[in-house]
Amino acid sequence: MAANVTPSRGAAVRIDRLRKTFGSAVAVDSISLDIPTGSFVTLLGPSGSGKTTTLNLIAGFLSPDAGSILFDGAIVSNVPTHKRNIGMVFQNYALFPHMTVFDNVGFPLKMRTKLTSAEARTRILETLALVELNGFEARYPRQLSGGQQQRVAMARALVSHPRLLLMDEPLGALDKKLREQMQFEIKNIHRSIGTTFVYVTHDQTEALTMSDLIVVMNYGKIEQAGTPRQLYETPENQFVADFLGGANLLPGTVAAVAADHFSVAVEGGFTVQVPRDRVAAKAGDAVSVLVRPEEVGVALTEDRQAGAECVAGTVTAVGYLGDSLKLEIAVAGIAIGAKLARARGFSIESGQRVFVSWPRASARLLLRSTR
Amino acid sequence: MTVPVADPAPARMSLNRALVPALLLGPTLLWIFFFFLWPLGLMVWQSFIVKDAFSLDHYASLFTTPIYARALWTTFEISIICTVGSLILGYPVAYYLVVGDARIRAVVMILVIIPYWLDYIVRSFSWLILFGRRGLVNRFLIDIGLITEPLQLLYNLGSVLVGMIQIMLPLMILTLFGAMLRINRQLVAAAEIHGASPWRAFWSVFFPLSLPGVYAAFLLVFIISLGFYITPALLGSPKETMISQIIMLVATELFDWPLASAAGVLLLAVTIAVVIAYNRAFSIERLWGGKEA
Repeated sequence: MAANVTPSRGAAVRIDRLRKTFGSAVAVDSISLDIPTGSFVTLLGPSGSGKTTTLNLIAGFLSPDAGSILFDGAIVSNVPTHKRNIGMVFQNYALFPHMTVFDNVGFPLKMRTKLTSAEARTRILETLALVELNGFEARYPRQLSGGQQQRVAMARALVSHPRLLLMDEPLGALDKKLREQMQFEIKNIHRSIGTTFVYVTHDQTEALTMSDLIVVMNYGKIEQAGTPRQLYETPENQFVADFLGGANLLPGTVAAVAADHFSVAVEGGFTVQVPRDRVAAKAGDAVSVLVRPEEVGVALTEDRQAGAECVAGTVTAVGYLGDSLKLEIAVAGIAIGAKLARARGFSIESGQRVFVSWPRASARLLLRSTR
Repeated sequence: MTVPVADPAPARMSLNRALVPALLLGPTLLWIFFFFLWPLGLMVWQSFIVKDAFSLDHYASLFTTPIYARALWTTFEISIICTVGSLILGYPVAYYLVVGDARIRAVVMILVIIPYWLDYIVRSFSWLILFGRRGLVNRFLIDIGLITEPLQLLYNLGSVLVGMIQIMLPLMILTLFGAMLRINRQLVAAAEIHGASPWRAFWSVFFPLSLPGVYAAFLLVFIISLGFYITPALLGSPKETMISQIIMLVATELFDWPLASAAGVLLLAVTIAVVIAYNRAFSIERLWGGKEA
């Protein structure tokens, strides 16, 4: 079978009712997902959510118990791993320790293509330039730093112009600063080559920074799939709201349903209004009100403005983060977190009485999950 | 000027620092000295003495009497074939123990280990029962009509090798298994996803990474094979006489302890030379860019 090595287009991947169990544990529970050609898709979830199992099923390291995976409309269930034309960056890079950087990067070319050694050399050096690692060809992996090994792994995954690139927490072993730098570099590489990327991580910042589409997984199921903005601003359930960024989830009950808003009686005895959107809730339903910490304002005097909620509370904890101030305020027995930007010169102490406010439009009603 | 006051704590620490290694290592070092190094030194000393004077006569007779050189050569020949044979038979088994189905793996592991527990003299004798003129193998072949006269299965190079390989196989397999277990199997997955068929992934990644283990196991089995004594004595003919048998013969039948000592020293010297040359040739750490972390 001649391998397709044209760099033109990434594969469109369709996952159809995919299921995988290990003994009695259901790792992937009948998920369906469409990954558009050339997109950057992140599978995001805690450990044990099934994201890595899904990736291994796409790679062909595991075979599904039910359901199917299609590349560009063709079922790949019976295509062995080495014929799927995939590149992959492993969590610990999995570089071949007995090969130089040059041979590591050249490996997929040797296996997949019939390039002459001069052509292969050109391609290898081109790819090393893409990851900014020229001059390291003769080194062995153990002579490189973690960040450099990561770049070699990227180069090896990309060198044969695969239709699909899989990345399994590739930045997990790097320190924070390098990780942030690599996030942008990976995104730039994605933009410049047009291959479909499927990225697995448990780090919400990575997911938000890089992805076109984020798929939040939990217990083998997809909780929600959408753009970073959709998931952050309009999460469909508590899990998604909580997993992507800080979240205040005020427990309560729907007291009344008006034309444009819900009135929610929050446990602890105050009532707030939440804009009414697609969420189908009726009076008496157990719900949570989502308020992002960065939407929360804190004032020493009551300053009730139109279109905002304002409740009184007591500061219980203050954290100085340099660029912002993190507060925890007890309001009628419920802890509300606030993240205040421009913290300089603003002094506040634990035990102080304050007024907490947030724009009504920024709150969101979530049905309390029954799981 | 202030006089520094001695702090008693570091003094006690340094005492402990000297005492603890002495207590931990002392008994074994004494044991090795009195029961290994001392007799070894006596043996070397004895091999250079003729009638209370220094002499190389014993070594001269070793090199001038062909039987010793031939036995030494035979020893190396048999040991090499035995080691290569164990490697060829043992490598696939060790590989299966690393990658195979868990339940079958447990059974194979037991089959490998059980012979290891049996004394090798017992195992050598068992071949006499199997390979004798009226042994199980010959009787079976006659019964099924393949032969009419019993085959001469014993007392030749073949029977010595079968016996020795059978004894060395568990050690070969377990040493290889230990080394293969340390190979990161994700590397094979990485080879496959980047276009290598399972066959090519094995040869381009797993096999090269298993070579340090192969070299180590090869040397271990080879060195132990050099000292074989009972198995060639029971299963071989005079043609398969190994150097240890000669040393035993000279010491216990001819009572020529100095000559036996010289033969022993020669074997030791040649073995050390082989080990040094071998380590020079297969210093894997220097390839692949430095020592393993």
